Amino acid sequence: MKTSFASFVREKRIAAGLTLREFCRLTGFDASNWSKIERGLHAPPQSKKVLEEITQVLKIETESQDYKELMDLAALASVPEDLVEPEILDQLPVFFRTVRGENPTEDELKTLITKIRSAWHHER
Amino acid sequence: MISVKLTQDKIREEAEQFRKEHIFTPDLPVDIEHIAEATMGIRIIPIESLQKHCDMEGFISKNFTSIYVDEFLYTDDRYYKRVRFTIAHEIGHFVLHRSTIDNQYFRDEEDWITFRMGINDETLGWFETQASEFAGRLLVPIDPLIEEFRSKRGFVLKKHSPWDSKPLNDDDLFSLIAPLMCKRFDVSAEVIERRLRKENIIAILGR
Repeated sequence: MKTSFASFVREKRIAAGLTLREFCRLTGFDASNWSKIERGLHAPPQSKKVLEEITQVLKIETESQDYKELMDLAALASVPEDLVEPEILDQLPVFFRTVRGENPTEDELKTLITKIRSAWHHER
Repeated sequence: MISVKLTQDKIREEAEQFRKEHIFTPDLPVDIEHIAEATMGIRIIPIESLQKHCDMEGFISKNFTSIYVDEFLYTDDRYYKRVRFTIAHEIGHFVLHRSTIDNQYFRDEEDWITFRMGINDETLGWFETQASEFAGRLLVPIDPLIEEFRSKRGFVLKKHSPWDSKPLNDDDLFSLIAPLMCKRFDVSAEVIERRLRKENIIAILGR
């Protein structure tokens, strides 16, 4: 399967020993938005300056093969039209507790479904 | 009704087995987020206002591909210890409760809501306590726990004994020493206190 910008940057981030949190702190990206970029749900940034900042944080040397690949993948990337969103039932939790230590209410469960769906919302 | 009661020994065994399979360095604190992503292939997905709107800090998806966390807690340094514990706790569900979770089938979202509303507190309490026990053992291994306790105990006893004519009891000692021990493990003082009690540290080392 052809490498996408999403899988490429995720792989490089993990290889650089950076958590999503650390990466977002270093680049200034919002964590939930960057997570969507890494899942191919948001298009990657197109600004060369931003992409160069990303390569620096990922410890990718300028003009290296990885640098060229990242730039090429960003330029080519768009969120695929046929992207299959995951089955929401598979994303729901089985065991969890509310912070207050009680079973969640029906409203909280419905809100949770909405939030999970939104976390996988595909933006073209 | 689903039910599972695991012994403390079983949870200890599972945590040690997990450590052998997924943690390749004795370094502390345990890099739990990296382990989830790099060695288990689980995605960490921050969700906005998860705690505010659903009163939850995090959860693992039924198919074990994603751990969702509250975005605010995840990105704010003041709460990151809690998020680390949440991630370890969710891994605990994966390790300890995988077959029980796999066996749950939901026809649709309504069916899931009915299932969730029907779990009684006691059953849920067992699953949650076991996952937390696993998380504590994973983030605070026994040998460094003993080492830290031994190195800080004298200081605490010397500093605080004169405050009262009575000697410190075990609970006082734990609550005074835990904040001094938590930095090495990057967990909260409450987690350290629980670990000290669970490991019966006074019986191992004396006072």
